[in-house]
Amino acid sequence: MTRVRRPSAQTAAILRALAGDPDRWRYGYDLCIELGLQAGSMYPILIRLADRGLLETSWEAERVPGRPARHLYRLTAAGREYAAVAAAAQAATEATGASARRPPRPRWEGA
Amino acid sequence: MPVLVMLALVLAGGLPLLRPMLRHGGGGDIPARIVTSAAGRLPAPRQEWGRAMAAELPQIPDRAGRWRFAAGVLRVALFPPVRHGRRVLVTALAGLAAAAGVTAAAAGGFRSLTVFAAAFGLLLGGYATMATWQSAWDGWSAPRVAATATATAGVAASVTDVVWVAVFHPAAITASTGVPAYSIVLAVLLVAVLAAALSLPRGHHATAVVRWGLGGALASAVVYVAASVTGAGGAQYLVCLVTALAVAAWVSARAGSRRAGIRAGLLVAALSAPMRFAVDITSLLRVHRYTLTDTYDIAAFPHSGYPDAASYLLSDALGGAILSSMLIYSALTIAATLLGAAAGARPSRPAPLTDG
Repeated sequence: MTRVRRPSAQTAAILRALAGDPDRWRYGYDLCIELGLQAGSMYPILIRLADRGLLETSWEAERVPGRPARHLYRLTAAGREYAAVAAAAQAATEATGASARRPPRPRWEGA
Repeated sequence: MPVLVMLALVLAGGLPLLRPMLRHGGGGDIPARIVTSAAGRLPAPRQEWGRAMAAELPQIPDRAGRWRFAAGVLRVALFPPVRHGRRVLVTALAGLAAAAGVTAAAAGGFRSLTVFAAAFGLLLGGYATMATWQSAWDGWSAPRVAATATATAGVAASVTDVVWVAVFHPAAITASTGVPAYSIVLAVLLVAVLAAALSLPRGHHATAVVRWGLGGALASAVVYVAASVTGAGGAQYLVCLVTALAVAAWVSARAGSRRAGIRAGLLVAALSAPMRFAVDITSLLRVHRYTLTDTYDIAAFPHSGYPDAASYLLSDALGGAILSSMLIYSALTIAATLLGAAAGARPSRPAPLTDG
């Protein structure tokens, strides 16, 4: 399996949010609200994901009077794969960490 | 005295024009203006992301949220994701090495230049690193190259003058008080001029802004040099102000955009400042024999700590040129720019309706 560089916690959160419903186009500000991230953190991550071909972008096709068209985001096929691998790696790390942190099983001292 | 007269003229004539701008803030709420401005500063390949962020702002209803979002966009514009990380690192290291080298050379040969060399080298290296980070070098056109070359030539001429003074009259650079404040102020101003000239606008009206700003700066420089060479003093101090005012008004009216007018006028201010400084100091350096003529100078010189009259006069001239040519006249030019842009963008009043 290809070794995946572990994404930052914020990137992982964005990947999880986008991978939750991969066919749905998402707005940047909605992701900010959902994940509690500031625009200054969110957009650089989106830009980097798009640079790496993991994020697909589009503009709203339907124009709403009184406001500009909004930018939309969803994961590409490579992005979905990356999100899945990153999530698996994260889960494995957490499992390893959890077993390492698990207190020793008490010995049976009966009889 | 000419400065006070110009200041009075600017204040008297300008306040009525500037009042609407101050009252209405140029239209739109402040977070929207921050977002628009910051998004427009993104490098060409990132412009779509600037539009994307700007399009989100209308979705944010609360005032605090809009300010937070605008701050975030500003942060992205200042520190966009690095596309060429290695290039940024190389620029930063090269800038540091150059600053260290220049400072060491100055400390070894011309001690009076050490502070200026260190400050100028570090600031220039820092600016180059930031510009590389922001991909400011992308999307160059012929007018941009010409404006950059003009700014670089002005700054290079100013630095050459300072080095010349340091080599032949080192005491003129080291202030008698021992505080090298002027060296630092000059370094800051020169790098600020370069940054302003190199951070030229992109997008709408960019070509007109650069073309007219550059043309205005060159025209005022020609008049300034001619007046200095022929010894016709006085009027040349007004040339830059009038040029900035005219350029700002013209571009503002032609483009129908006050912002474009302001940018063109600011370009005149930025490009003119080092040229004025270089011309002022060069004309003084052409003097072969320095003599004290002013009664105050004759009385003050023996207690000043300067070894000779040349150092005393050049030190005074350097300080004066930094304060007047670089600082005060630049401030006045900016004021003239605001006036010109406000005048140029004034909507024409509809003709009064008459019966019959």
